[in-house]
Amino acid sequence: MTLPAPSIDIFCHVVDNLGDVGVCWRFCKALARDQGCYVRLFVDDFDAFAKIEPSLDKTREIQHIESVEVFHWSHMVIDRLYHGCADAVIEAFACHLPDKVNDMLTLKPVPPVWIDLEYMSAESWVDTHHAIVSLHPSTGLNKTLFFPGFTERTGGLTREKGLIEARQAFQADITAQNQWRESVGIPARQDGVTDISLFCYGVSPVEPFLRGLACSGQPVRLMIPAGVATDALTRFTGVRPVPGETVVHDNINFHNLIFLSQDDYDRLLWSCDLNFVRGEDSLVRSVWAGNPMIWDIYKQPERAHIPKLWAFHDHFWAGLDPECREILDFFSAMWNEEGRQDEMIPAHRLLACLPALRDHARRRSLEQAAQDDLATRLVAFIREQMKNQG
Amino acid sequence: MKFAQELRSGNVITMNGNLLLVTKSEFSKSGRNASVMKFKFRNLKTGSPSEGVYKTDEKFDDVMLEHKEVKYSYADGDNYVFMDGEYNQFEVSKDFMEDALKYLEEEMPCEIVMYEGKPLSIELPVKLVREVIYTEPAVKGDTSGKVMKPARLATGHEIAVPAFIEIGEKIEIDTRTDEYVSRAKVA
Repeated sequence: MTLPAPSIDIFCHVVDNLGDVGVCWRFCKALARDQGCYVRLFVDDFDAFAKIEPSLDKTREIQHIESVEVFHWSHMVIDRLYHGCADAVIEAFACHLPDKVNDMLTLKPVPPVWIDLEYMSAESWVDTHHAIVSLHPSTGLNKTLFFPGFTERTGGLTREKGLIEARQAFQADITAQNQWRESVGIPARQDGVTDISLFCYGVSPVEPFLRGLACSGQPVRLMIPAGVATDALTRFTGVRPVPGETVVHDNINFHNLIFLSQDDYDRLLWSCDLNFVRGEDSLVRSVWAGNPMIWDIYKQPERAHIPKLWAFHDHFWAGLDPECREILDFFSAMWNEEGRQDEMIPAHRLLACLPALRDHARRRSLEQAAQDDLATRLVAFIREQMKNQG
Repeated sequence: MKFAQELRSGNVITMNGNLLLVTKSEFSKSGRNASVMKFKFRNLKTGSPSEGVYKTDEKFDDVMLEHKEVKYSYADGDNYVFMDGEYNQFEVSKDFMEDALKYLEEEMPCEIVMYEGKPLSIELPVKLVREVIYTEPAVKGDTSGKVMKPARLATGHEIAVPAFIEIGEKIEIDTRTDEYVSRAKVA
């Protein structure tokens, strides 16, 4: 007998940038579309959300988008319109539930499955901390920290149904790639030219990297998402980037992209030879893209991000040709560790490794995709908890 | 009230009307994730074990219990025997010791926790000095940023230490987080 899909409330507080709401939105769509869940998403910053989902009407408090019921999370909306919890209530990324929702958790005869959805990590401790149902000290309810990750013992990664098949079909079809490129203002694929997408933080060592690319003499096309590395690009080329325009500087063509939707960004990752990705959503998407990536990890005080970076490398790049691994590690250290930017290795050494990196990334992407995704694991966990609670 | 991050092995808390002894606590922090504590508990009434994972800013009701200053003497089967300054002996079951076993050495000073007149568990000093029994040699020229490596103590417990630490060196450890603090100062 197939159990009905659970209903789920997800609360998302936008801290900075678009990463958190981007992850939540993908996840909600996967829960609704692939798992059949009734999902209510509460987001406190509709300006940020609208950049990710252009069909969002910022003037409406409630709306349905792609089978998800979207709420503007404000005290007024919660007070007026939140009348009861779903089967499961999720705090995304350690946000705190509104007081009214907190109160309602204890009012249901059978309490909802209460989950704190954390950021993903490949660190080994996640395996032993994931999904441990824990008695909450002040409410007496059960609450569970759910950790997305890369192993069978974690919550897995968001991957909607059919994603890998769509990516493989796209990568096998040059005509489809070029048609898509034309639609977003990127020139067609060209033999002998390396395409690199550059999505990075403002503090990243873009200029040393560009100098390295220039020294390599190899023809390179850089695809730069709107608003990224503007100052560094201006200093290097002497021209302030304008979305939709191209700047040619020596052997590098700078393609300043218009703002891309999540689907279009996926296609960018699928069609570039190397992807610089920042934060967590774009890293996971680059894993599914099966192309080499340099992870620009979100910087934390006391270098707390560094073990997380290397845990990912040790997981994803395990078994890579040692020489390429050394170059990749060195480059990633330079890209992510403060004070190491003067150690820039010649970019041509990284470019020379791209075929080996791509073969490895394709294989690891498929191995990762053989595991259940985050939505599947979360729904299974919720069902199990609902069964245990009777 | 105590924050989860302040709870240590040997502390007792109340949850849902039960008195729970913390027998093991583990701190983890990475990237953007909230810092978390993983605890193992033992119910003082039923003896049943349980565990939980909490954000470090979660608040718990802790229970103040009597403490006595003691030193570890010897193991007697599954019990560990401690002695105070007046040569009174106190036995603590292995089941209630978990975290402490990582650092237990003869004559180690610590505090025994008493509950209803009986010895219950021990609390370790916040900082301890221990000798590294084994660790891999440092890799020369390692510039990858992976600067930590495992080091084994006499109890068999391993902690992460900087690459420059060598076998035989004494190091200071924070027992709350199991983290290396520094090279021990030579007396």
